[in-house]
Amino acid sequence: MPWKKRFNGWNAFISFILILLGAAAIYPMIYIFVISISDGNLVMAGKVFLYPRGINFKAYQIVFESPDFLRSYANTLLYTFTGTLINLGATILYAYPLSRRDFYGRTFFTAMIAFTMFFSGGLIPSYLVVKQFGLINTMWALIFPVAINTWYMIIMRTFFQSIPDTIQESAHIDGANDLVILLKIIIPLSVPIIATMILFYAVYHWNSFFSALIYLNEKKKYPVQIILRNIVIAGELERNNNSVGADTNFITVATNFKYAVIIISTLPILAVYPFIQKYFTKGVMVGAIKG
Amino acid sequence: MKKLMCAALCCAISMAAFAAGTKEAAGETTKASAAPSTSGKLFDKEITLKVMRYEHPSQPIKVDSAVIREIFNKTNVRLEIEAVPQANYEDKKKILIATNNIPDIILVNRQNLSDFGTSGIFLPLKEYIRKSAPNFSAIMATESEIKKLSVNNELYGFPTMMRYGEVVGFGPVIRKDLLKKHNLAVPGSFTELYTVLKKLKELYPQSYPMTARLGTKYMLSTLAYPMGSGFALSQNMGSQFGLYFDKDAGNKYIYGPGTEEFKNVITTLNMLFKEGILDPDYAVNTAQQWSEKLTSGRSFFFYDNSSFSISFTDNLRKATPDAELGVIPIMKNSQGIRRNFFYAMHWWDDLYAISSKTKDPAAVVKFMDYMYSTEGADIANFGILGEHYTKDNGEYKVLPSVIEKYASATSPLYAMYSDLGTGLLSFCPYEDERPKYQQNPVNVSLMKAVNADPGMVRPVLDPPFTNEENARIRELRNKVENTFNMEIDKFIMGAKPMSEYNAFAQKVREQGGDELASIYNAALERFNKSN
Repeated sequence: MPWKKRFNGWNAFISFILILLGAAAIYPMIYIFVISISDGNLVMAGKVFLYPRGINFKAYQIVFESPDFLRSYANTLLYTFTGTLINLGATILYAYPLSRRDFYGRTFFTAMIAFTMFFSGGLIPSYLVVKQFGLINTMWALIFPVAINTWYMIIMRTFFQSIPDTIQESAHIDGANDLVILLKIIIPLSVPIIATMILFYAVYHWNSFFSALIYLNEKKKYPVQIILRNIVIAGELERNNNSVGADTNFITVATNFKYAVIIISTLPILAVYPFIQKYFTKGVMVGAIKG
Repeated sequence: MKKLMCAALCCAISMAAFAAGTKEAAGETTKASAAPSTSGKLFDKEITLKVMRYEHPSQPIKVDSAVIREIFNKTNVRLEIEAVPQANYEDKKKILIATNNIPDIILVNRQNLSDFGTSGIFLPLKEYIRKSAPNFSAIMATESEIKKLSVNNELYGFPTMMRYGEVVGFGPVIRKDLLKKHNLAVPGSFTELYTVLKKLKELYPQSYPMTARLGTKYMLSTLAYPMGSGFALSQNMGSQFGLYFDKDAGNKYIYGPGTEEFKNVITTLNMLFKEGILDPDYAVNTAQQWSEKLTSGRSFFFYDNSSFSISFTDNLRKATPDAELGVIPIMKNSQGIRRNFFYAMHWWDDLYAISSKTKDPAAVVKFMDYMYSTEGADIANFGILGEHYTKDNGEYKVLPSVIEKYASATSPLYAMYSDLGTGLLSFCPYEDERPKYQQNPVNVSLMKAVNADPGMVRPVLDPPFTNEENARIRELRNKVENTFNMEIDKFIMGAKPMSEYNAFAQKVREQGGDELASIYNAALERFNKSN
């Protein structure tokens, strides 16, 4: 490194600005967490800022008491895991042939999938197609229609293209067929990009609620986002039911409750992220540089 | 050669993919409704019916509740309720309707029926009702407003109705303890109200005596009618954009904002705002902030759903033991009339429509009719006779052991409803409020007080419109609403002087207010003539 580490006024000033920006970025998350474990009344009175007051876990307790909650959490984990697996498989299998220059139908298949990036039939034709395949009310309706994300596939293809042809050719000479090359050479070399894709796809599946909403009919199959969204928005719907809405028996949704819900739905992703981060050193930018 | 094989294989795979499609096996079975039942149950053969409705988070719907079992025992109908979270119900419902994939019975609102009724997705019910729905026909005979639900002279949905119960409405609620404390008389007219609130402001300068929630239009919808004009925000009161039905001005629809009386309402609100009596956040308060202000003593008066007075009083008493937010009688307006709308008695926007593709339409109608019968409604509201409730001489009582079971839940009433499968938020087209009243006796006294007030008026439903009228209403309504929304707060807050109100009133009337009123009145006349 050509620069020497210096501690002078200029550096101190920059550090100060960066600390401020970092604090501004992280404060909302701390705030949400603090509110979620604070006492509801103090929160409503606006007395909670930096540290939790009246610590209790009542909000979390209410959420976990909701009967469908644990089952839907299991559903989400299942859909995310299976979905990411299939996504990876499909994306790799599509990207690798496109990255090989000697593939016969290369332009055709690239065009076909790039087309889907710009045009889409819309919601109703998609629904009709899924219905025709008999996937309604099954978990495959959440996985197959979105199995390949074109953008990620192109990133992966570019990464594969950066793996030198010579390695593949030498393997071929040693008697390996395409499948063996893919499994034994390409994939082990592509760990950064695969880790990145795992994160992208997992987050997508974790957050998806609209496709689950329209394709699934049974409550026992719902992922957690639908249940949680209902809890968070419930307070704003009271107006519509005039006689029922003023009912003092309804569970009023306090702010700390909503925030507990937010924490619960983002915690797994937050927990997993640091572990995948070490693969990112090369991950995202990797598709940008060829050769 | 290899390339050719490759290409051929790809084509074959694509063809197979395109050709894959499932065909529904069309089975012809004898209809369950054909023969009259001989087994004592409603139907001899077992039928399965799918119902889709929204689910409120306070009352999760169970798939195997006592009610569903009992309905099966009595009717041989296996009910499969698909409960969609309420927050997402609109989206799901719209998609299913648009792709014509609705289940046998689906909960819809009036707008859905008027938009899609004639498209053939929903079963036309009149003929079926005449033939096999005696209970519902009896109800139709007593409640003439049901006829207004028809689209092109045909009924497409069974409305959710109230069998036993009372409603309240928007009402004036004030801190009665503060009135007593400062020797102020209970206001009997809006002018007296102004004096009282002004006095309270002088005594408590930090307060904003009057507050509102859910936006300017909602506030106007509560205040304008009692004050002599009107501004409806729901189909039960007139329209959703300011038209209202006036019984004192000739039993017709009037576009409120264009009238002189409405100008007086705005002038009054402007005055209240200027003097710091009206909460400056009136236009942006959420329901939560509004309740916060009233329960913390920063505001003393609201004109909204009077049932809130009970929970707010309870909350206030935690800090001030003798506080009382209580409803007062309807106040006289500047024309000397006391008037105020009730809420609608029935849930006109929760209708059960039947899919036209259902396998045995007559059976479904017969089943829906059963839910309106005494026996069916009893099950849907109370549960199993003897196990959950008793019925002695027409007196319904939920068993104390049942109430005991849910006493420790966050909301005992809704925990009971959820576990049993009863109640309005489950499958219950003919609702009985008695389980609620049994557990909440205080509410009953409020109901009685409000219902005894002679100023309360029952609202009327919108008349049915033709497709052309609907299209024209949508067109005009957008224009009128946009203009209104942009300007009205400026007048209330004083950003625009009231002298310019006449020009504004003229503008909204020309943009569509007058024409909308005439469309509504013409439709009402047409309906009255043919019924």
